[in-house]
Amino acid sequence: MGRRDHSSRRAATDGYRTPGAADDLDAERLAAWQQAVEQAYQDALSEFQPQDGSPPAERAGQYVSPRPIQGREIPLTWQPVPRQLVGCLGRRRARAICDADEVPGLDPKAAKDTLAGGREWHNEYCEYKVIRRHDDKTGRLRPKRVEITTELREYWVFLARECPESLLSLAREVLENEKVTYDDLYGQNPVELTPEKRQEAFVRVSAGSDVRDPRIAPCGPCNRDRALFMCHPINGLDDLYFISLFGAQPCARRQDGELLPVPLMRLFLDNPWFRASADDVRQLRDTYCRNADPSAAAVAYAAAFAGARVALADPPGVYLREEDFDLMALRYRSEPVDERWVRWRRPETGTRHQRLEVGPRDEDDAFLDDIDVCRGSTAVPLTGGFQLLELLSVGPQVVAEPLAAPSPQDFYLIEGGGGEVRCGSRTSDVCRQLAAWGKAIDAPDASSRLAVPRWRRRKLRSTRDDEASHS
Amino acid sequence: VTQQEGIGWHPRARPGPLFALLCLRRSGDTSPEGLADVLAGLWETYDRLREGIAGDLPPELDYAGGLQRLVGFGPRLFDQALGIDHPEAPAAELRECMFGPVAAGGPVLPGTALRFADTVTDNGADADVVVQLTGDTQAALTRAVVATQRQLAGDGRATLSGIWFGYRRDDRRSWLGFHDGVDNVNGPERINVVEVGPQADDRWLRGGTYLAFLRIEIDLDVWEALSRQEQELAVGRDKHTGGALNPAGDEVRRVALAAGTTSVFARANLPTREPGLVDLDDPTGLGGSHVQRTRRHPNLRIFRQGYEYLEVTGNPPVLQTGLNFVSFQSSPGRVIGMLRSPSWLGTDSFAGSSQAGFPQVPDLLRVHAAGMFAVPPASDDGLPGREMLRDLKRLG
Repeated sequence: MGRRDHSSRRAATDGYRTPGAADDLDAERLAAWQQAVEQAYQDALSEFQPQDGSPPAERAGQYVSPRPIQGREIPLTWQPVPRQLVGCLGRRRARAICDADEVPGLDPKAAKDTLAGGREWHNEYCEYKVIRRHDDKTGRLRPKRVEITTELREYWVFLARECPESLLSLAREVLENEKVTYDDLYGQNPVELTPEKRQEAFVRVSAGSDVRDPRIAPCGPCNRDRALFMCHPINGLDDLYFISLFGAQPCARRQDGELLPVPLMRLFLDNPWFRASADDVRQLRDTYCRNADPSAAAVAYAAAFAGARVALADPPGVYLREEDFDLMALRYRSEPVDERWVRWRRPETGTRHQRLEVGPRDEDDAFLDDIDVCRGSTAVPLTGGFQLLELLSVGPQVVAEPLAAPSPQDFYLIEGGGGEVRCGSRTSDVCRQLAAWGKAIDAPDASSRLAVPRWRRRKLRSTRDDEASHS
Repeated sequence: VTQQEGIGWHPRARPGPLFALLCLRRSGDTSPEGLADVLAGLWETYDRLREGIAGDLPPELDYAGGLQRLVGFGPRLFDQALGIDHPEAPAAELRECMFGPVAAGGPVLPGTALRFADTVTDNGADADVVVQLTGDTQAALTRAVVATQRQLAGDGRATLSGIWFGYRRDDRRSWLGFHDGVDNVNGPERINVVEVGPQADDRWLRGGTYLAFLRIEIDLDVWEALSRQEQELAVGRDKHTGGALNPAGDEVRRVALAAGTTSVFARANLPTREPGLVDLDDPTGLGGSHVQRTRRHPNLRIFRQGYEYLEVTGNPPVLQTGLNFVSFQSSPGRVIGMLRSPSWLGTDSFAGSSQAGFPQVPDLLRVHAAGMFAVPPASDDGLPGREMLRDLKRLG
């Protein structure tokens, strides 16, 4: 594997390159990566099973392509602040949880079953780790910099399965640490293992499980002490495909004989694929109150309503966008921050990246909290990653290709059922779950038992079936 | 819990077409509790006016004029009462997102393209309190404004730092000549855009909202020097119909209004109003248009409720045209993000994309006042936010 010249353009029909076109793979491995993308799409598509009154299964994927298509690129971005957390607990507590290395009240067993500290709630396709260092002057542990990643878990799992040597080399390069070992990544030497066993070991140590499997949180250092790539179960490529498929349905309401677009909230509450199941609708109410999902669904829906098919642009990936970053809000001693303290990577060129590191290098005397955030005329110290998420946008690039406009009989009618969603309502499933986390942050010494969150937006039915079989 | 009046936060909440915004500063050592007394007095006056009782005149309910009043609190109140480092200081995000003191001609926020007018030396909206008055008649609105001024002058514990008037045009166009608020956030989505959530940090603000205000002068000489096509590229809409412009290859495509309709606001024109998302570097230049910039992040939308203005300054008289930009949102960061982000309005105050060879529109806008306020929900006990003011005394 080598570094790719991503200035080169490829025909759309060639299949996807690596995320961000950041790496170069030989033809065989590239084909295997493209197969992994296709599999993520098929996993998402399998959610759209016919039930009472729902459309026929063969229509579920008509407006989303698993392969690159020719068309116009359109932006799809959202602010990666975990909106459910803010909505359910308020900004102060959300920030405290997101930036925490450890969440008080999480018992050791639960801590092992979740991502490190507040990362368990970095669920908007953007995860970070605050790197701390001892300040010799004060003797305190202080934040030094923040590593932010949007790299897809699927890509790293694919590398781990197919080419462990390349994986090791890439992990060392991304983490800028030549001491990273196979043990750090797999818990053992993977070279002699079968691809399936390699994947199993890598999931256990570095990647964690996706939403389908019994929950496994990574136990190795690369995604507990550092942020190598996204390992939150809900931040998967299959989930991105799910929400795109969910949105890309020709839904409409009828008014005075006209077929009109439906408000986005209705798409979540009265979706023809899921409205027959109260459990599904309850989950979708929570999904509506996130940043990523409504944004992705809205873009896909607008395309489908107009009769256009969407696909991830090539190269696929979730990107941190340089043009959206409010860098001017960061000041050090009233001046713009040193450019060495803002490092866009994966790739390093262009304006769309999958990795951002903000803060002084180890050799610098300064610490992260010596930098000020000046959104308004008041400066506040930069103490973690949450404040950076407020200055960022993330999202994939999407391509839309016009097809024939849907005929009136192709539309699924939505008539306004399902009530309304007031985000942050304490009766919502996610807010009920988060209430204990909020108490733990407010009173770290009090004994509180925090439950491991259950990420199950995708595989709605299979998860429910699993629950039934376990009860 | 419900929003105060004066916010069109649901279909039945319809503030009148006439508008006044009044900003107040505490005088000298007026305590938060003293300020609460002043505001409670004003609130009673407004209540009487709403019942048609003006001064010592007999009640004339027919002439109440649809007066609606709203009160909010500015970061200056919390800053000066407590100091920003106070561990229990309320309104933390509001204080992080405050518009600053003015450097004449300087940016409204550090590092933004939108700037104050050269003539502004004191940002009148940098205030402790905001009162928004809306009404259906000039009489209803102006007598409430005058009553406010007289009551404050007689009391002495607070002074007016700014009064701005505005109105909504019945053709729903702005001074730019384009339809305004065409694609405002509508329907069931609006409440989640406007409302501070039920678990927000500040208990007193839960169910309320944040009000952003910018008094923006529009230089018609600059605007009208552009051709219609340039104006449309800058806005991202058809000037005549209000329909969104969309790219078709390297060309810009106009979308016709639905058959049988003449207004872009007709329901059947919902698809016509909604612009498709266009990338920033799209060869048509549409990606840099005002509509596209402000829609780039659908999850950070705001609910706009602007009012135009016409003001006469100087002698001989000079006309100043502009917009009272008023928006309501669940977090002040939504507006600040729009104003600051390089791909929104951070690098160009209105629109423009040099990469696409699209004309910039510099010097089109000049700001005369800018403020951000926390607006608590309506209260059954009279003045909204009164308890918060009591708590400020305890903290101070």
